Order: sequence, then structure tokens, then C-alpha cells
Amino acid sequence: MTARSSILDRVRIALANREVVAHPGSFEGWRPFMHSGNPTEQFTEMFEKAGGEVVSFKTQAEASLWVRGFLADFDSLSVGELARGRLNEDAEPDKWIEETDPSAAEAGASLAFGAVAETGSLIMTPQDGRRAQLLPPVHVVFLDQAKIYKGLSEGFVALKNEVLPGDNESGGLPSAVGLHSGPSKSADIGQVLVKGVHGPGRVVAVIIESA
Amino acid sequence: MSFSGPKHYRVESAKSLKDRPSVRASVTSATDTFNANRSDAYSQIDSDLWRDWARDVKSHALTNLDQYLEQAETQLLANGAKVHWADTAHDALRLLEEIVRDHGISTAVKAKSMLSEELGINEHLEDLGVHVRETDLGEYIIQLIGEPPSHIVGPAIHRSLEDCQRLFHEKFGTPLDDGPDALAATAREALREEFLAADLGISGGNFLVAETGTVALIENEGNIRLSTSLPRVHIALVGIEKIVPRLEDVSGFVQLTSRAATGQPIGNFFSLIQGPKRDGDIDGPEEVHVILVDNGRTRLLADDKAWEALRCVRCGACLNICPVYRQTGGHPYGWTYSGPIGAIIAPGMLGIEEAMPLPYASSLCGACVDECPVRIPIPELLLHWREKAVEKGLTSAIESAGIKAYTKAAERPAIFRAAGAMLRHIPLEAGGRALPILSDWVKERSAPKSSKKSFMQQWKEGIE
Amino acid sequence: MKAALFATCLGDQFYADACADAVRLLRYAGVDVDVPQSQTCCGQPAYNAGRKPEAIRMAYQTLDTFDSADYVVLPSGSCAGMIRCFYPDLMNNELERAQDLAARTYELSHFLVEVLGIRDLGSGLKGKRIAYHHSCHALRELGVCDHPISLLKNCGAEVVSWEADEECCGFGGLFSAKLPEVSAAMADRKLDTLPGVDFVTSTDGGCLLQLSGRGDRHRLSVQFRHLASVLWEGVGL
Repeated sequence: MTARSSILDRVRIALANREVVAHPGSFEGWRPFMHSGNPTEQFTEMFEKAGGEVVSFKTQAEASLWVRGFLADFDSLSVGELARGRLNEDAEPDKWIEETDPSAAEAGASLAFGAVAETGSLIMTPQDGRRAQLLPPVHVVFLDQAKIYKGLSEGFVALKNEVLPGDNESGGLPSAVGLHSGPSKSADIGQVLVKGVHGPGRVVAVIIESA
Repeated sequence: MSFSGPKHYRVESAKSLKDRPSVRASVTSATDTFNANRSDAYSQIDSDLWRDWARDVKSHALTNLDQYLEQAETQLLANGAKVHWADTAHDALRLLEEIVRDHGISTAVKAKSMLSEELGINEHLEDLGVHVRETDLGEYIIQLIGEPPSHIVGPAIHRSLEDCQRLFHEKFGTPLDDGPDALAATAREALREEFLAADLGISGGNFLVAETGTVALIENEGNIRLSTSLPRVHIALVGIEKIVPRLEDVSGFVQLTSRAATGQPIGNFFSLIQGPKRDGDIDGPEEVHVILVDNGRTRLLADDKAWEALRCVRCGACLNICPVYRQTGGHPYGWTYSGPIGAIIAPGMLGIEEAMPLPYASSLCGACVDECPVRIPIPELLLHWREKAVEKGLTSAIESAGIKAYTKAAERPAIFRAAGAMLRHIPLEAGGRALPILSDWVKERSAPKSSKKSFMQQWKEGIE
Repeated sequence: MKAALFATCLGDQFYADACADAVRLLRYAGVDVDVPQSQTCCGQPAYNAGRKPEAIRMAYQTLDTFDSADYVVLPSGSCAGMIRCFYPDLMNNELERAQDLAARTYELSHFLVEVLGIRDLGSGLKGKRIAYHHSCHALRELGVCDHPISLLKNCGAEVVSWEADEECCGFGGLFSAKLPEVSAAMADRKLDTLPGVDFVTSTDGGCLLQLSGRGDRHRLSVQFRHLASVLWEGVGL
């Protein structure tokens, strides 16, 4: 007998006389946990409370200009696949950011799929590159304000609908999703909070108000 | 490195208190912080409603476990992941061994996983010649020291800053007065190289979503994301009780678990892993293996009362609030899972014989049940296992005879009072040492002082 | 009003004077107090040791003893909790009688405040600094939290804040003898955080035995006194 069938058999025997508990339904009835009705404000408040930074710009061009200036302070940079076009928008090709591998980069730029207001989370997908989101000590992330969802569930639904529309086989989700809700941190050494343990110690969300 | 089983609990707890007072100080201080943060985080939400909901979702999943496991498997396979089933720790190690051999793996990075501790993954991989590195900072510290975790969430909470300074000084030659930031930077540098070089990443799983075939992982350091993103092979070890039915359920569970564990609205990194790298992905593992582990879980599920303990989300809240756990940390429990939750799942997973005396390692103060995010009736289950221990004759003969005699006397008030009068006339401080039960009492405390006259005597004589 | 006092096995032997003070308090509050002579033990020691059959026998003994009492009052949160929370489950043959007893059973301060509606007893504790230890079962099983504290305050006492006031003292009945080292460390946590006070009080003799036994071992000068005696002093007659 395979382990699979022996485990499932034991489960069925254990449950044979057990009363089945009904699913209580949606988590939505008494959520979302929102301080204000405005998702952008909520996202900003939560993200900053967790140690992240937020800046906001009217247009992509203004945001890109600011990010290029921000990144100029670092010697080596990596750029996510989806962020590249955004970052270099309006820039002449000879002014494009010079890129290096994320493992050697002091700072990196990415594009978030979206964000969740309720928890203050950036939604990161592998189409942009996971290494670029994790290896550089400083992480700058473009975020379209229109894609700040109220709750986690709304964010998940949006992911299913937009990234792989119609892909029912894999549940419509990308191969892996990372929610980044602040910098990397730990209190494992003497219970003292330390930032930037493995992932980025500094994370800046750059909100673009008009898509 | 590994645990020796619960049976030495009394000796080990006494030894910890006597020989290593700094453990008690570190654990008390760390759990005070956890408690304050959780209490604050619960107060920001309607935590009663959240916990009722979470209890019911988990009970629903567990009472339909076979169907959800099959659904999760189907979905994971559709996502391109490989699914394995392990009856026992031995099976899980064999599966791991096969994957390691098939892929010529020589180095592995591990993201914190209590299940991997339970299974003894590290020792086995090292025996196979695989270099294994724990990457959670707390796990890294105790791996360097060579000891098992002391807490589900904070494996090194029994270690002080001074302990870490000495350790890093010995291992890396860092100055003895390096602060936490400098020590963490040293660890980051050492571990970064290992992340980039590793062939294999090993993780656990906080939740397994049946609907989407998703392994969900909560953390703060980013080491889980790195371990599951960089190496070419990712193995997720997931206990079969980790199932939740729908992705939407996870949106509640990640928040509640984070609040219960560390008092955060959500861990700073949250991974939802469906499968290996696809076309259009820039990077990610070429293979994702999910090993579904039983190792005693179906045995616990079969218990008509204690199955509810399988709702546990491993937040550690019951450890943090437990005044028994707080005196010693987790090591004296002699098993991967310590504190109240350890004491109620050990008898189900290991067998009551193997788990003794853990069901008795509680004063039944009930503080844990008020904090549990999935409302496991912990004190009730401790009593449940104590009953089983008595049924199986696992408690001392003296205690058994004593309680039987006491009960007989209690049914005959005159005898009960005569016995009480006798007891009152024994000089307890000196005589107590000769009596069973009392002799252990007076070891640590002055003997109780009997009243000069019993209350019943006073009542008979008249109370002014 | 009539009420029966259940002194409890521990109260009868070790806190006899406090039980007598409980009688005085109740009489002072106008209660006609009875002490049924067939009372012995509520069965909690056996129940917590995992010995249900023995616990059930003692539960029946108690049920028969207090069947006709209007109210049953105990100078103990732990034994009151046993009757209120666990008797109905233990005696499913006599569920209604057990539930009825449970509904009539009160810890002393709980009874004074909830049933008798007493707020002020007197002013006999003026100038006293008191630390109140929450017995786990009074607090978590019965929800007795503010009742004793407000009574103490209204008698003029200053009830000082105590970081560990809600933490278990480590008594736990047989627990304290089975695992005496951990149990003692739990008491030490209480004593280490104890602010300077005239005395420590609590609803439960078990907790007080544990704390005073350990305090005595550490040669602490602070007194540990049962709530019944402290409240009787509070009446100030």
C-alpha cells in the first residue's frame, strides 16, 4: 500500500463518526480592517508603521525621475523586468540605468503587481524577477495607485483575473507571489529589532497616482 | 543537537532553573514582549469574531481532510509541482534522500520549519553528505551552538545578547561588544554566500490551500522567500493538518496568525507558492516538491477529543502566556513542540506512554485558552490526556492509592474530619519530609501551617 | 437570606480562621449562615489528576450535602469553579441537579457583590497597601476580577498595581508537588515582581499556601492573608 492511500485511509477511518463542521463562510462580513475609507491612505499608514517608506507622484514620468535620482546614490543597481520600461520612460537610451545582477546590486527597482491596503502589502510577482525583489539591500517599488486593493482577498482576485486570465488549471495564480509589507527584520539576537537581515532592509513604495 | 524525549521533563526543568538562570530571564523577557504585542494586536480587531471564524474554518478542513488533501494534490500537480506522501518521519527522510540523489544536491538552505525539526532533516542530510544551513537568524544561532529550538516562533529566545556576542566572537572573530546590528550584518554576509550557492531550498508551510494548491509561508526576515526562490529545487514539508479550503481563507489566517504570533498585522514577507518557474517568469526553482507528512497526525485525528488540537497554527501564543513554559523555555519538554500545545499534541502523535509527563506539566491556570487564535480547549485536553494516563496506569502507585483513600474518606465526613485532625497534628516542616507528595512540597517551600483549630471545630464551638 | 458555607478541605484545615471570618462577614451582611456537616471535598484534586471516577464520587457527596441550600458560598475561587464549571459535565446522570447547584454556587467576594449587592463594607483598611493575587480559577473560570478589588478599595485600602497579578502562582494542587521546581520558580516570578505592600491577599488558600511557603523560604517579611480575613478587617468593627 502506498503512503498516500494509507494516510487517506487512516483519515477516513478517523473521520468515520465525526460530525462534519460547516465552513463559516466569507471572512468579509466583519472585515476589512480599515482605519479610513481611502485605500491609499490605509496602505501608506500600514506600510510605514511596518518600517517601509512611501512617496507619491502625480505621473509616471515624475516618479521615474525621482527614482532615477534616488538610485544615483548607489554604485550598482538591478532592475526588475517589468520595472525597466517604467524606470526609463522619457529617458534617452544613453541615460538608461546601467544594470548589474541583483546579487551584486546595492539597490534595486521593481514594479509591484498591486498592493493591499488592509495589511500594507506590496504584491510582487515572478514576471518581474524574484531575485531583484530580494537580493539588493535597498528596494524601490513602483506601485499604481489604481491597483491598491482594499483587502487581501480583493488583491488575490485581481491577481487571478489579471496575471493569468482564464488559466483555471493553476487556479489563475502566478507560480509564486510575494507580499512585501515592510523591510526584512528580526529580533532573534537578544530580542533587539534589527533591519535588513536577509532581504531588503530598506523598502520604498513609489505610488503613481495616475496610471 | 536533538531532543531526548519528554520523560526527563522534571529533571531537565529543574536543571535549567538551577544551572542556567539566564534562560529563565531571557524567555520571560522575550515572552513579555510577545504578549504585549499580541494583546495590542488583538485589541485592534474584533478578535473574538476572528477566532470563532478561524476555529470553524480549521474544524471544517479537518473534518473533510481526505477530500481537501486530494484536491490540494490535484491542484499542485496541475501547477507543475510534485507531490509526495510520507507516513512517518522515516518515509519523509527517504523521499528527501531520493530527491537529493536525483538532483546531485550537495548544499541546502533551510527556511525555519518546525516539521523539519520534528523529522530530523538536518542530521539525515548531513549523513548523506549534504551541507545544510539554517537561514532564519534564530535557527542559524542555535545551529551554530548545536541545540534545538526553544520556541516555535523564536527558536533562540532562550539566548541572551551576550550569548550571541560570545558565539559570533568564537565563530567569526567579531568583537565581543558588537551590537545586534553588527552581528546580524555578519550573519547576513555569511548566509548570503550560502543562499547564492545552494542547490536546494527546504521550507515548511504555514498553510496549504486546497483550492489553488498553494503553500503559504509567513516570515519577517526574507530568508523563506530567498530559500524558495534562489535554489534550483525547492522542497516544502507540510503537515497534512495545514490544509485550508480556499485562498480567501488564507487572507484571514495570515492576518490572525501574524497577530497571534508577533502582534503584526501581517508578517513582512508572505509567500504564496503554487509551483515551479514557468515561461515568462524571470527566475524561481525548476522543481517544487511538496511532501505531505503524517507522522502521527492521523493518530491524533482519530482521538475523539484531542483532534481539535490539529487546528493549531503554531503561533506560539500559548507558550508565551504559559507560566510553566516561561520558567524554562522549550528544551526540558524534550520534544520539538513545547509548552501547552506540545503537551496536548505529544500524547496524540507519539502515544501517551511516550509523552509522559507532559500532560501534567501545567497548573491548569487556563491562560492559554484565552489567547489561542483557533480556540483549542487546551486545559480540557490536558485533563483528557491525564485521564488516559490514569487509565493506562502511567501515574505513580502512591498517587493512585492516595487519591483512592482520600476519596473513600471524603464520602464519610466523620472519617474525613478525623484524618484531617491527625494531619493537623503532624509537625509538617519536619514530618512532611517523610510523607509522599508532601516531601516534594517542602523541598522548595516552607510547610503549610495548619490552623490551631479546624474550622469545623470552631463552628461547633460557636463563632462570635 | 440563607446561605451554606462550604469551607473546603483546605480551608477547614489551613485557613480555619479565614473561614470563621467568612461566617462573620456573611452574618454582618445579614445572611443566615449554615455549615452542613457532611461537607468534605469538592473533588478537584482527583479531577485535575485525571481521576474522573473518584472526582464524580466526591461531586455527588457535595451535591447531596448542598442540595437544599439557597446559596453555596466558598472562600475559594478554585473550588467554586469546580462546582460551577465542571460538575454538570461530571454528573450527566443528574444534569439538572448539578446545573442547579452550579447556578447557586459563588466564591465569597463574588457573592457579596453580585448577590448581596454590597459595595461598601466599612473603612477598616484605611492606609493599608495591598497586593491582590488573582486566583486563576476565580479569574478565568468565574470571571471574578473587580469584585474583590473594589471591595478592598471601598474599605479604604490602596490596591497597588502588580505586573504579575494575573499570572499563576504555581500552586495548581498536585502540580506543586509533582513539579516542585517549576512550581517554585512560578511563585518566585510573583514574589520578584511584588511591590512593597503591607500584605498580599487572594480568594484562594491554595495560592496563599504556595506564595507564603515560598516567601517564607526567601525570608520575606510580607504577610499573605486570605481575602475573607482581610475583608472582615475591612468592616472595621
